[in-house]
Amino acid sequence: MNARSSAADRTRPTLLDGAVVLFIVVAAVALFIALKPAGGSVLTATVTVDGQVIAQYDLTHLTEPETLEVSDVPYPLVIRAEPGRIRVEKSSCPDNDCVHIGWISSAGGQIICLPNRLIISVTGSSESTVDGVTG
Amino acid sequence: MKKLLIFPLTCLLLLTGCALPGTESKASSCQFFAMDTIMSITAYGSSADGAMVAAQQEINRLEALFSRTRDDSDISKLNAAAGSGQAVTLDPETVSLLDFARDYAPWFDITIAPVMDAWGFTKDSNRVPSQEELNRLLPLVDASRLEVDADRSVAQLPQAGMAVDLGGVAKGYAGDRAVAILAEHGITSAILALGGNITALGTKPDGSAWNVAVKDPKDTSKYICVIPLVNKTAATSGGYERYFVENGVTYHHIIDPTTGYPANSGLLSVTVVADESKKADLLSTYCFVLGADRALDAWRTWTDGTELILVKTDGTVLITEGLEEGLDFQGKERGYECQIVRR
Repeated sequence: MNARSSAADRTRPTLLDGAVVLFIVVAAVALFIALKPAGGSVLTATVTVDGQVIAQYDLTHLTEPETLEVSDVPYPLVIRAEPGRIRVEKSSCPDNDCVHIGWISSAGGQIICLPNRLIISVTGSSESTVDGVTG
Repeated sequence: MKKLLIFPLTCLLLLTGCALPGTESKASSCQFFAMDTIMSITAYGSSADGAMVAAQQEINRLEALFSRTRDDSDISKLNAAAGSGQAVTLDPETVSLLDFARDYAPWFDITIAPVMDAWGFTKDSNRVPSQEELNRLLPLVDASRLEVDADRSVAQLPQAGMAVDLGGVAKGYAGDRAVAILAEHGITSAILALGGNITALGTKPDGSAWNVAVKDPKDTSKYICVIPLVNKTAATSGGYERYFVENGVTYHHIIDPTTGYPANSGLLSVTVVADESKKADLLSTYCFVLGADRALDAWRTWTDGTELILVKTDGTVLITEGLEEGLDFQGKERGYECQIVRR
C-alpha cells in the first residue's frame, strides 16, 4: 500500500483538486466563447446587383427611414429602409414580385428582383434558428 | 506524478472531440441565378467548394435542356416541331422528366404553356385573356396527347400551337441532381434553396435535423411553422408572390389547367415534403389546384412518406401526421388553427 492515500480516500479537497476544477471551468468557458455562433444581434440589410454590393443598412440602429433609388438597372426601383425592416417600395419591372413580398425584418429574409438581378438580404440577429425557408 | 496528470489529460482528450469553427464543420456557401430564380447552396466538408461548383454546373446544364426561352433547348425544339408529325430526338433526361410529369394531368399539366402565355406570366406582360381566347387555347392543353418514347428517346406534340413548359418541375429535378453531385463529391451535409424549394442533404454537421420554415402566405416575413428536414425536400406553391391586380381583382400565377383561370381551390399555399425534390416541386402545384379535400384523398393513397401542409383561406392549417414530430407551429398568434390530419 502507498504511504500517501488516494484521492478517493481523502475527505478534504487539496490545492491540486482546486487547480483541476479551475482548469476545467476555464476550458469550458473558452470553448463556449469559441463555439458560439457568429452573428450578434445586429440586423443588417445588404443590397446587391449582379453580386455587387450597392448599399448596406444597419436596421437595428437606424433611427430615420431611408430611401434608395436604384436607377442603374434595367427596371429602376425604390427601396425603403426603416428601423428594423426593409422593402421594395415601387418598381418599374412588369411583375412587381419584389414589391409584393413587402417588408422583411428577420435574419434570412430576402427580396429578389429577378429582372434586375437585385437581392436584398437581411443577416445577423442571433435569434435566427432557421436553416431554410420554403414559400 | 503520473496520477496527477491523468485527470487533466483525460479532459484534454475529451476536448479533442469538439470541432472548432474553421475546421471540418466550416460551411461554404454560394448563390447564383438559374432557371429564372435565385439559388443557394450551403455545404459542409473540405471538398464543399469544388462540389458546389460541380452542382452549379449541373444546374446550368439542365437549364440549357429544359428552358423554354433558349432556342436550342430540348423543350424549344419539341415545341417548335408541334404539329409537324415529326418526333424530336431529345436527351434521355428530358424524355424521362416529360414521362414523369405528364402522369399528373389534368391537375398539373406540362402543356399549359399556351394558356400561361395568354396570361402573360411567362412574358412579363400580365393581362386577363378573354373567355373566347381561353376557349380557343384550352383544347391545346392536354398532356395525355404528348407522345413520349423513352426507348427511342423521342417525344412529339401532335398539334400546332401545343407547347410544353417544365417550369413546375424542372427546379425540383435540378435539386435531385444537385444533391447527387454533392454526394458524389463526398458531401454528407448540405442545404439547398432552389427558388422556394429547400432540399436537405443529410443532417447538420452536429447530427441534428435542418430547421426549415414555411412562410405565412398572408405575411411572408413571418412563418406558419418550422419543420425538421433530413434527406428530403420541402417545396411550396402559393398565389401570394406572383400575381397582378386588374380592375381590383387579384390574379395569381397558378393556373388551373381545366379552367384556364387562376386556381380557386380555397388554398393560400401548399407545402409538400418528399424524398424526391422533383416530386415535392410538382405535387405542390398539383395539390394547390386540387384543393384541400382532394389533395388529402391523394395523400391517403401515397405510401412513400410524402407529406403535406395545406394553408386554407379560412385560416385552417392542415398538416399530415408524418410531419407532427418536431413540428413548431407558429401561426396561432396570427389567427391560424393547426389541425393534424391522420390516415
